[in-house]
Amino acid sequence: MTFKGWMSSVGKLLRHTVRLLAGWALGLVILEATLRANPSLLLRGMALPSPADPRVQTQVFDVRASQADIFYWIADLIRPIDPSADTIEAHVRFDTDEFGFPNRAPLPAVADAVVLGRSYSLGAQASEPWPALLAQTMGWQVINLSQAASGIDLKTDHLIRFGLPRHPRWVIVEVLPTMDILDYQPLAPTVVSGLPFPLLQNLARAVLSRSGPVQPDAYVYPLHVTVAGNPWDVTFFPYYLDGLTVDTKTLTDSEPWAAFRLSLERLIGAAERGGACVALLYAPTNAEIVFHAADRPEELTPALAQVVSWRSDAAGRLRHDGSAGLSVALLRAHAFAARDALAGLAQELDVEWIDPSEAMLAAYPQGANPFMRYDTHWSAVGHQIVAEDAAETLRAASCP
Amino acid sequence: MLPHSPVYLVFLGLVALAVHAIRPPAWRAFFLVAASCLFYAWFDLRFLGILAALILVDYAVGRAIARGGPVRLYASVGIGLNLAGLAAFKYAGFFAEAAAEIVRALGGHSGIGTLQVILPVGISFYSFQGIAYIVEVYRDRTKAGGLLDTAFVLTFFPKLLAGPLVRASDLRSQLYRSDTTPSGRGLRLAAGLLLVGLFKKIVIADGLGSLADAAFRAAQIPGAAASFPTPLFWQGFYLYAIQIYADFSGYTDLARGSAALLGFDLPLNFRRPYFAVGLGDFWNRWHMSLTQWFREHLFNPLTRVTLQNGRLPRNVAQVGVTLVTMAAIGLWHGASWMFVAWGVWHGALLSIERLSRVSPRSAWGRVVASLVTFHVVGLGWILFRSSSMAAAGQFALGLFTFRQLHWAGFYLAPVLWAGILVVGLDVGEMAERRMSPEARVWWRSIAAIAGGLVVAVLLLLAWARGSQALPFIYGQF
Repeated sequence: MTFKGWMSSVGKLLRHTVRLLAGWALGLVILEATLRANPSLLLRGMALPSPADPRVQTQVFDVRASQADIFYWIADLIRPIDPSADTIEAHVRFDTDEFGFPNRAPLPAVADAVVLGRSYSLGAQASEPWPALLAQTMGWQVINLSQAASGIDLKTDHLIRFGLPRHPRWVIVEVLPTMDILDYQPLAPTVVSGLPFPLLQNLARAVLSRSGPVQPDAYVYPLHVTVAGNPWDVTFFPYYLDGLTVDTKTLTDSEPWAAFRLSLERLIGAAERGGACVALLYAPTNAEIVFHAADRPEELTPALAQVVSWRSDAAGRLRHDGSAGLSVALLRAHAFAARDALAGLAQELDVEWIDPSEAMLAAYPQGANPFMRYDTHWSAVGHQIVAEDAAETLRAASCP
Repeated sequence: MLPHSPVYLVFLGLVALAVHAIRPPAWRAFFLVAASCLFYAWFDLRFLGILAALILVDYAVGRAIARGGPVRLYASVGIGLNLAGLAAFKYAGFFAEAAAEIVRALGGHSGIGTLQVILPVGISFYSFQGIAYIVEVYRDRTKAGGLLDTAFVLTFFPKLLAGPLVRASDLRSQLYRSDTTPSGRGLRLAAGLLLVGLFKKIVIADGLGSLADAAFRAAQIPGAAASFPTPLFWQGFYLYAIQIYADFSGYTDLARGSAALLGFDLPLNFRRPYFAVGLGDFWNRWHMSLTQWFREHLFNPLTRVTLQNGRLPRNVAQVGVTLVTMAAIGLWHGASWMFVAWGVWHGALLSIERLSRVSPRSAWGRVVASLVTFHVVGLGWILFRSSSMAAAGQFALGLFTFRQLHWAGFYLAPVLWAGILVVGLDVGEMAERRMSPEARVWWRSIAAIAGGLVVAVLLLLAWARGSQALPFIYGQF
């Protein structure tokens, strides 16, 4: 080929590349604007700038035990459920308001309390999440601004945009230590940049589910655990268990804790400037409660599969660091480390502290389970406990 | 098998490959009828029986007219049978309910139960296609086709669900062309139409336009106008106008693109309707094949009858015929008084427009007229989309309560974006014609990569969410 021919080919290639890049860039811009305009096109569980549920809608659905693994973002550990053995874990009526938050539309102009939470307070798989029960108990207008996978920064944003204009007296902030502190993922700068990971996970899951069942001995859940003398079927998220590998001091000395504290102070400042008092709600998961309360620790050993330790480096950064040295005893010892650290922080920042963990522990001897068997979110019993605890704390609290 | 689903695209590709391998037109027609039947049976096998019955009726009536005799009677029977099929499956419940209402209003006991009849998809379109065929044969007996030709015209799958309505002779003549294999340019045109159709449906209509649903759901709550933010209703107002246009014109693009891939040419159905400078102009740009159908088969004959021998003053006749035609267009869309009200709204405003004879002259006048027309059409969409007159009233009232205006940015941002996309497509199409060939190549490849990427990611997301594809709005009429 002559030099001229080469140059012509290179020119052609360059033109194709420029067109490809320009088309790609234009596509990404259109995609970003479209997904921001309508977040319900995105995947549940992604950290999004606004609620992902369609607005002004009532959905009625059953949550089946066999659907539990849709909440797993890792390879299956749950024994497949035969359709004939499938059970309904919860019958849900889910309302959304004019912004897509979990309230019946329309929202009132003023509110007594605003709740900022993740999927637990959102009422994932519950018709009557605790904010609705709190409203009934107190005779209050409670606005639930919870959004699945929302971290502290997004909560602050929701408070300022949607909460404070309604002049609440109370702002209640749910804190799930594992996701809000240890595994906290700030909002991606663009929605598009947050997409590849969950999309690839979904693709991988679809492929894996077609590649046949895993080895029978690899199934862990539901795990049979004895609590308060009664046998229970339990399912854990391994990444909630990761959170039990950290002690209070490591946590409070860490960089994520400092970042969380700073963001929380910003939220509290915004709430106080808006004339509201703040209460922190500790959101216990079944990992903390069951590891703390199990009668026979050895029954929990299989749950260590896929658990990874958090370790702190010299700069206080927390990193996942294998599973060496993990034991049920270690996780039991740290079950409430994060809770204790948060209680101290609430005291230090002079905000109210709502801790339903003791009441949840007390439910087991009475034969009641605050968590769903497969889904792992709070059950109707769990929401009732949280609502009662919150009502009791707020009644006793002084807020001008 | 919705035309924006991956399974349809695979089906279309396979049919296109096969149809170009078949040379004899009769075999090609047979294959296309078989493929169309498979496409239709995919929705519900029972629907195929109804379609087959109408094909037999239209074929028999066409042959009878061609043979001569009491052709007017044959044509009337044929049209009556097509309308009877439509009435039985689409309007039986509606008329039974209306009759019961009248009996109840007169103080009697109707004894008429609620009728639940399945509505075969596309029946409004293929019934009207059948009527158009009979009228065409009635006017020119040489246009009567054989059974296969008639079946082909009625079932041709790209237009089966929601048009565009075509002249049978036009479509048939394309079947008998010597070479139907599309050229490279034809293939690019087909691919472009398919991509634009998918983009309009998946990105604009379903991705953004569906946000309008919230306002219409809110309007069903008693006292909605006084309790929801006004910008929510404005969002619904604008987004529904965008959604229905993108949805239906997207369908038409998919139909035309599919037909082009098979070597057929379907007519345009939309010509930038929201740029219309009056309602008359709007109806010449919106769902053009249906407007043409009603003009030819209802408006013109009725006008002739009412004006014969000076029975009615011209203006009165014109208003009456316009109102009847538009009410019929409304009723064609669905068995509901809301559709009739929508038709009457258009009929009344068309009459006012014609009687006042106002037409903009300056460029600015055209801009203002076009904005006014868009908003008048938008108010009509409220009737079209609302479930009841009370909900439509709440919605319309909600537009003017001026409550919680600080949410304007929140609710109107998606409207702005959807507007940019939908106007961008129309303006881009106009601008493309003025580009140099080289610039056109650049623009088309960049637009194709961008559009393809967005459509692919949104489809992937819908699959990952487990969402069902939303049906076309006009596919349900």
